[in-house]
Amino acid sequence: MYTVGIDIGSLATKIVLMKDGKIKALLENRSLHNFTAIGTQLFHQILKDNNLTSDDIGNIYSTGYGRHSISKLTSNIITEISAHARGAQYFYPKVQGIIDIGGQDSKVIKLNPKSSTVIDFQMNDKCAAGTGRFLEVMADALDIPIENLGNLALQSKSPVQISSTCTVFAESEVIGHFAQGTAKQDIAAGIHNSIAKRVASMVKRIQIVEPIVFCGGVALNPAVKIALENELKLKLLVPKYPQYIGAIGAALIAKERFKNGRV
Amino acid sequence: MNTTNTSTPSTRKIVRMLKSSKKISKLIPWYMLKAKINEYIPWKKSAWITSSLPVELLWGFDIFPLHPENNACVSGARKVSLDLIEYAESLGFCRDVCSYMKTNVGAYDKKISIKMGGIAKPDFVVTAGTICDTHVKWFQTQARRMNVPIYVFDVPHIVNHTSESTKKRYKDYVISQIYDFFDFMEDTIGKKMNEKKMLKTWENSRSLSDLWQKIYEYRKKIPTPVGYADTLGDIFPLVLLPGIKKGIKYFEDLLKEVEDYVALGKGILPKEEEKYRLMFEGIPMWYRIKFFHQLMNYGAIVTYEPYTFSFGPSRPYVDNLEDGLKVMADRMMYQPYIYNLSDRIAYFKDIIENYQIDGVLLHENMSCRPSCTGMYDLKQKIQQDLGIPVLLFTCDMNDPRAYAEEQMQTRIESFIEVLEQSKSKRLNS
Amino acid sequence: MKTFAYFDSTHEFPEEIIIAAQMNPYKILGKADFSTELADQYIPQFICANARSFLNQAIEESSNWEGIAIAHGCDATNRQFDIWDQHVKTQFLYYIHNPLKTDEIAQHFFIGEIKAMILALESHFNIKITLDQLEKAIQVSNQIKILLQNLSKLRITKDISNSEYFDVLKFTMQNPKKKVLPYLKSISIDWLARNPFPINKHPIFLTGSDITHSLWFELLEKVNLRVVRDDLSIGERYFATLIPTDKDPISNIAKYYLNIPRSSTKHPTNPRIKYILKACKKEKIHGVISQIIKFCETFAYDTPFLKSQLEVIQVPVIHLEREYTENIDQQISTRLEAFVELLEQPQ
Repeated sequence: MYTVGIDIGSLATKIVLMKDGKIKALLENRSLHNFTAIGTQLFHQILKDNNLTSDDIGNIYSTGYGRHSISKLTSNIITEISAHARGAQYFYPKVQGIIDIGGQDSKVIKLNPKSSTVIDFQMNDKCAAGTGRFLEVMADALDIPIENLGNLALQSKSPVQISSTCTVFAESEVIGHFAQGTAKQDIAAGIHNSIAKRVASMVKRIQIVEPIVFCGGVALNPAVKIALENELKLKLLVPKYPQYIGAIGAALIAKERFKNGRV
Repeated sequence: MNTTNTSTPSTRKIVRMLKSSKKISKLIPWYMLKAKINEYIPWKKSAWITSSLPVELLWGFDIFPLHPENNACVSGARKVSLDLIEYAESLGFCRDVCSYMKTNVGAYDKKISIKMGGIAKPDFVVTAGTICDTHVKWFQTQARRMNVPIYVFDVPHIVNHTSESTKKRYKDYVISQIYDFFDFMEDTIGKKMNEKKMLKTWENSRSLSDLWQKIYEYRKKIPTPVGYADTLGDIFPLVLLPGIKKGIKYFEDLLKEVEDYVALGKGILPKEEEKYRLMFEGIPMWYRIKFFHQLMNYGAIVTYEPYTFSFGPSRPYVDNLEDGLKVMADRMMYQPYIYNLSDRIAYFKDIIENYQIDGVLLHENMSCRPSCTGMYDLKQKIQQDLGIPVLLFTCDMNDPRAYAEEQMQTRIESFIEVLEQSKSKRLNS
Repeated sequence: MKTFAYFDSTHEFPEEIIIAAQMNPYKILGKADFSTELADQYIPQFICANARSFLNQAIEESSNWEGIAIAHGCDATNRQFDIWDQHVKTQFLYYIHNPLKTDEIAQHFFIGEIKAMILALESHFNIKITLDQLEKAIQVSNQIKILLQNLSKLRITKDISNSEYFDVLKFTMQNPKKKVLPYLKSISIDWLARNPFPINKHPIFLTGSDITHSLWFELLEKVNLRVVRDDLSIGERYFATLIPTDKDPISNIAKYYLNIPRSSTKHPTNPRIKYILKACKKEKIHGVISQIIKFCETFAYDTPFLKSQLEVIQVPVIHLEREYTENIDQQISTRLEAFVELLEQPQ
């Protein structure tokens, strides 16, 4: 049976097509503030690419910031928390903790070691400082493409301190360092340490233990992973397709909840 | 925090302060050593106390006072507060609660050294709601976590128009609680008040305050012989050692040096360099004391702080317990740091006039909401009625994350420009 | 009937005195449109928006009120009193200190505070507040509390939405008691006839800062969380205990206000936690929603302790910080939905 999971995030929308709980296809695109349009478009595209029609799909679940906006298309919704918990288990069945850093939200999920159910979770307070958006703003301030930010940071030997947690103030701190002629890689490394600290404080609040999966679009950035590992003194596992974990989880839940019809 | 913008004038190499003020670096270790010894002698008892309560309350019982606020600012000045704050946040204390409290939670749990602001487990804690809810919640929380007894004073607030008869009732209420505290000391802590010692403590404490008042009086001189770099450390004896001879000696030396300065017409800044005399309201940013030294590079010097003044108000001579308790109750109920809005405005106006203040800095301290309430009105009144420039800036006393280097720099520089214009306008008229 | 408004941070203001003075005690809860702009001129944005919304309403509407009293509960009350004094137009502004503790010294003091307020009201309004009037006011207050207790119990067995419960309490706290009594009686008839508690809803306990608008209750409803117990001031704190009638009315009133379910603003804090734990054990509570309005410090300090105590009795809890806004907060919505999923997952 085919199931589909759509994760409509604030910055990017991700869709996954699964057959009997195995990944068949993945697609993503910028969300561009029109959740309904982008969700629908990606859904039709993934069907077309795989020569399927809507009738072939057993169950469709949406998750993410815009999960409510494609109710015409989906059978049900699930929050990012449950979706990420399930999605991470697809790659690492024994996972006990999950750190997800997305565009606008970051979250930490603690799983029950026996039943793999969610016992507790934390989300960032309303501030961009511990999220992907923070990195975007900082990359802009440094005038480098966001994809290069992580690798640049890894070249640093003496990272600067970025102490403001407010994105706006941190940006001006970055500009200040820039004005003093501090090397870009040292600033970039400081930026990564700052986001790691912020996320680490959430992790400490609910005290997750290994194995820990690190996912979300930001997990593609190797420097964040290293900074987080240093801050937490824990090892993090980054799955293949870290940005798709929510969508994969939604598709898996869609399969599990399917009972002779879309539920 | 290792940033200095290229546009920032370089900080003077020497922090300008009185020689005697430097002796604080001997007095503090003496206190720390006493605290340490106290920790290891089983029959010696200690207590945590807040700044709204007179420490004489403890010295009179031969209880060694430990002051979490004082220790927290040490952590701030030693630049370790951030780690401690983040630790407390990881326990679930939210971002918006007091940075002193979080520093204390971190310092206690992590058992950091006393030099860095560490603090020992007390035999009990005593607190009051005079200044803020935080004092009560903080000590409640820590007493529970450390499993020690707590005594809380309920101190009613004197607001605008509180009548004399109401004040009298409030005072009676506070005094009843002081007696209740004595019972608590006897029943729960097993300590009886030593009346003779209490009276002696008050007497010493009065001498200390008197000296402080005299020192403050000299700050009226132009150029001022005492700067903020001095008073920041000088309040230490007022916070923790009232009633102790050591503090008095320290203040006597200080006063002597100040008198010498004045006789010679000397100031912290030379007369021709002292361009702007400032008043600073709020608790300083302990992790960024450099801020105040930087001001001096522009010829601006802080010459009055209600915060440091608050710790040493003048007090009458008392020779019996009853009168002493009344004085203590007064001190517990009202002090410049918590003046109501109309008294606060009047007080500021008075200081601005008497100390020839050119500008006022208001620290809108995110860790002290009560102190920030009313600041907008205060600012407006000073500007409107006296034509004195006021800079209100948002920051935090112990959480360096709240200090935005670039924004602060711009604010200071603009403020100096405003001061310059305002002063020349005033001189011309 | 003349209206006398009051601002208290939980349930601290002895409104019986106003009832006895033949006026309507009106609890200031901010305007329906969530406005704070006028107050923001005088109070920093990083101070609790509830208090700012109260000042905002007072600036706009004080001409409808005979007078205003502020009762001490948290820092906002005493510190902002002076700002009200400067910027709210009123003939009579009064401050009353509700003690932090409950011992005899505190009770004795509170009796004095109440007497002083009675004198001030008598002299300003040129009236006499008699002991007889006070006794009657206590009777009315208790009648209302009993009706509310009965209504509250129906939350557990009947289908009564979160906001219906809130609206009843808000109505009670802002309208003349003569109107409130028949209103509550008619609500009782309505609620008794309701369908049983819906099976798809989760019974929860709601605690934390006071919630002043029904919007937040609707948000909980949307995700199938049904508040069946709480310890809010616009909630159980207002009616859980009755005013004693064994002594003189002023002593009875003083005693009552010191013995209601405790808020985080008081000392000690354990009774508050116990009240929550007891309710969780007594009713079939699926989970606890602990929330604070941003910058509400007193409740924030108690959060880690509350959480740890609920973990001991294995009741799931979620802690949320909310903004003061008329818009549905997407992130909070997500957290609440995730909490429901957590409650529903097979254990």
